[in-house]
Amino acid sequence: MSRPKALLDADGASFVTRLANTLREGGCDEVWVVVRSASGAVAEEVARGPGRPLVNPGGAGGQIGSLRVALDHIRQLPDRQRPGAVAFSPVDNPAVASETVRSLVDEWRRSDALIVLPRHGSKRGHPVIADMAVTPEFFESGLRQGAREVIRRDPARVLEVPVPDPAAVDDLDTPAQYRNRFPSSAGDRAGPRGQPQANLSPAQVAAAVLKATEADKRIFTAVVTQSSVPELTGRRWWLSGDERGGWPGDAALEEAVSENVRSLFPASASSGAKSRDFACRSPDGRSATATVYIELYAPPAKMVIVGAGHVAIPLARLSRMLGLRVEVLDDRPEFAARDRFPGAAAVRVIDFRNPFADTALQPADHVVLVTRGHRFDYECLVQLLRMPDPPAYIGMIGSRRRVRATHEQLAREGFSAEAMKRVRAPVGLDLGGQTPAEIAVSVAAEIVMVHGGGTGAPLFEKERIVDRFFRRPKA
Amino acid sequence: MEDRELLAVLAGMKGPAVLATVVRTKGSTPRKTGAKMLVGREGVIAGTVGGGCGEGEVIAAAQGLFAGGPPVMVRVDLTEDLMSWSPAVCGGVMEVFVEPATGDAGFGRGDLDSDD
Repeated sequence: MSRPKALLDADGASFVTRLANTLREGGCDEVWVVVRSASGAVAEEVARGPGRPLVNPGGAGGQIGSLRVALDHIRQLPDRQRPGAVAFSPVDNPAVASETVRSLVDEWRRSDALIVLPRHGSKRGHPVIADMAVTPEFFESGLRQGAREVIRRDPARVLEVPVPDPAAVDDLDTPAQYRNRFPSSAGDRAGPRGQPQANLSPAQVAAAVLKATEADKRIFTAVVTQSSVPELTGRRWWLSGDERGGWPGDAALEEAVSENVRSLFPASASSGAKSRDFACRSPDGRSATATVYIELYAPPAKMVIVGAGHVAIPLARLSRMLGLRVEVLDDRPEFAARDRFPGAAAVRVIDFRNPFADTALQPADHVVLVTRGHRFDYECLVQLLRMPDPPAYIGMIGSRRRVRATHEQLAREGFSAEAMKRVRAPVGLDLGGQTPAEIAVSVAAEIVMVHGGGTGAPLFEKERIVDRFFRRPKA
Repeated sequence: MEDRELLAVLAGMKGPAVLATVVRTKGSTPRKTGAKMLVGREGVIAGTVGGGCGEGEVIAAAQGLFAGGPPVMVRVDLTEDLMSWSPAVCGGVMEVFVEPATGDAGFGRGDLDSDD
């Protein structure tokens, strides 16, 4: 929720204004509203309504503190202005009916009870009417339960008035309770067809993201982080293909974001996050701006490992650590076994004549060829290099001899040097490693480097901090 | 990329929680745009926006939301004096948006403090 409870809409008027009006209509001659600060939105709202503000700075002392501020003001009024009783209420039950207040006031006049309050079902509610004779007790120190303690200490002087009004016992503390009492207000902003639409929470948007990416769909999420129109701040929504969820709260803003969102990120990106300013409209129709933070989620990129041998196992684990979806392919069933690759999204037995028949590949994906013989690498490369939209990262393991032999076969098949250069062969960074784990690390490191835009060089040699910032000591 | 694990926690979150998201960075920062942190009343539930004093400011802002405050933008300035030995000697600035994570991020503390 994005504003103080007192200012929330209660079917056309704010909580505080509505309650102040109800108290007047119910028979209160004067209404005072205790606020935390003389300036600010709440004070301004009170000034517009029938209530008069009294300040309890910072709301010190909680409810009893605020009650004391009001009682203190009232007992200092000149005789002819001083009331016989006060009706007090927190702002949690703005839907209480004026008839309820009227019946409480009537009961106070009629009976000799010093405290009159409403009952509905098993609950006591507000406003509570306290005769001025009893009000000094609210100033006692040590009231651990605040006003309640004064009310409870002598049941003989309390009159409970049964009322048919459930709102008398409201304590609107959660959005769910608010929606229940004011269904058309709780939406905060009307949707495109005039229907009020509650804002989506980040939790709801997160659920939509998980659902879309599991269904292999891209999804954009948006939230207004700053705006000259305060009601828009915090509004969240999402777009995925033709589907959408939530509503920004302004039709102009929704259109502006929809039109521009895809161009904010490269087509092959599998994730992204950016803030941008967009034009929008204020409720009175003037143009305004909103800063919108937009995220792209796409299904995680793949690591497809061809050749389920020694290197594949550590490479699969490292790829998972980098957040890639791992798929492992081999033509030998005893190697392409699920239990050898826990955490892999798929493990497939393939035919090298058509190795990627069941493997969808996008530009954002990675393919690493670590098969047992270069003729199998060759079969894969031919398929990959002929794809219209091949993965950007294609790597092949091998010694200089093995790589050369494979490329010679590709050349004989008609592939140009440019085409061959699209293959990272031999794959990985030059670490000098020998073991399958060391080779896997060099491939994983190369992938991080390609995505991060680094050079692969040792950082301390690259930064040369000592040489650049510190004089050499004299010999 | 471990973002997705945080998303799963966020999607399943019930009860009051606050989400902090790094929405803009300038210069060198420990985490980049998109980094997220989920905060409960008792402290961090998941994720990080970079640790150090900056993260402390964000957690403090989150507590303001549990008291019923509106979403806020926290500007974390990490361009501190190098000799302060602070972990925040990164040299950049982050803007972190702090908002209720679920629909119920503390709409007020029960019936005690509702006379705003």
